[in-house]
Amino acid sequence: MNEFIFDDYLRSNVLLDAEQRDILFRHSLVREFRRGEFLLREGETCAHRFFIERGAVREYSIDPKGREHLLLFAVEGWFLMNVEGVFFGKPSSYFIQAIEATRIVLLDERQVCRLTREDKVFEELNRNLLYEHIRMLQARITLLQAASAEERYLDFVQAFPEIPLRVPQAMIASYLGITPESLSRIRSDLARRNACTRRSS
Amino acid sequence: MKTKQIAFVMAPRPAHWVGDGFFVHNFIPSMEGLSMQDMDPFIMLDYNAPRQVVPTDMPGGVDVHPHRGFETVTIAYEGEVEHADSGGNGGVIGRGDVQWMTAAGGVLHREFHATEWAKKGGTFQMVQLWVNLPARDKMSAPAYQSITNADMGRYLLPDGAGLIEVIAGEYRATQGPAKTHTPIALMNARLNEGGKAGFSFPAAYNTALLVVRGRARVNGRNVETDHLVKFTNEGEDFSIEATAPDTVVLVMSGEPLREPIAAYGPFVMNTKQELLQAFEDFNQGRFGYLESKR
Repeated sequence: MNEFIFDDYLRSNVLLDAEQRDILFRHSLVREFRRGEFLLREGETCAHRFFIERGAVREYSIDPKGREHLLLFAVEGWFLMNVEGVFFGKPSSYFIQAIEATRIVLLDERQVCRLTREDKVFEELNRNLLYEHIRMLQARITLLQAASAEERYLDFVQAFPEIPLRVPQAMIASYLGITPESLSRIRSDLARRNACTRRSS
Repeated sequence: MKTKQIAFVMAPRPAHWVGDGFFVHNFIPSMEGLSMQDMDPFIMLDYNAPRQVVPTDMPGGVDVHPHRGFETVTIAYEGEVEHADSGGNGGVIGRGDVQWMTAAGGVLHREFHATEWAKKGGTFQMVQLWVNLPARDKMSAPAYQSITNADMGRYLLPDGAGLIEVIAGEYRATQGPAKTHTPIALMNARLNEGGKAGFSFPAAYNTALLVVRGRARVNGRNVETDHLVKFTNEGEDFSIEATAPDTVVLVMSGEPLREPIAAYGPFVMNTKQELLQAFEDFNQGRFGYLESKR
């Protein structure tokens, strides 16, 4: 699968000098996770942001009845963090787990804060990522409140077309807030309506 | 005719799981000399070396996934593979059999260890090879060729050296049953110890072999089991001599398509635009529907 190297990401977005990058990398860790391994468990406090260089992860909670609720996916080139730990220093109510063999850069939040103070472009990048994240969460809430399950599925595959190829159906169903059976039904309905309209590209 | 020289011999890299049923060494696409372009039209080669499967009611495998733009060739050396697709096709690839699936415009597909076979368990060994399709055929209708071991072309080598099972292409005028879109030769050399077979393919064809059982001497060079030999694009002729009993060598040679490749996972097209279209078609249900097994 594809790779997205954090250093390349930084270089293409901000102009940090050698010392700034050196300090950031000295305080960062690169770790590999096997499929199924946890980056973070409920109850643990994590003050690191994750940048995914390779692979895919999910952040989810488990309710008192033992059901999983998938909050977010992240694949190579994306950031993911537990907001409770990184922003509030509190234990996580979520699990973060690798769903493929995954390589992560762990960024120490103190270094992120320091760079944010020092470098205007880094601050701007950081702020825009946060704004984008809030916008995405708002759209997700509205979809959960107002859209049909099929509309939610179509919105999801429009935004993240490659994820259905990489993660089990049950996880996508959980992300959409429906059962795997409902997702099967949606896919089968779509196929019935669209299978004969395949476009030649 | 000149001797086709060995470019390199490659040891199997560490194996990884495909789904939870296939534990494979990937050879193509990998290092320099084995990229999709280097081995064109062979764009993927995964090899499940012999591995014990414990008896189970829950066969391992890979659940529903799409393919577009190429063909998957599955060779079951040991054990059995059960498959089904969105076109309503399905069946069991038995020991020694080959399934040649032309995904072309797109299928949803799933493949597992065969239910009945998995109940007893045993040794599992398989090759999956992806053969690229030329641009003109990438969006054609999907098709299947189920090639049983008995269907294969059989050339008996002289002096009890063994036999060549021809899956595609020809060996000394013995034809293989597979219909291919471009010139491809695919065959198993089943050799007794000391048995020798000569091969000849055009210099321009990309050519490799994989020792799936036993041991062989290729152009005089020793090649261990599970190792792959990649040939250069100079010369035509090479020879394989078995240096262990019951040696089996998979030989592949194909005329390169020399077309641009745009690939992501299970889609192999010519342009990025066609790849994006493949994502959209898959997500919109245009590949049809296939029930998940899990």
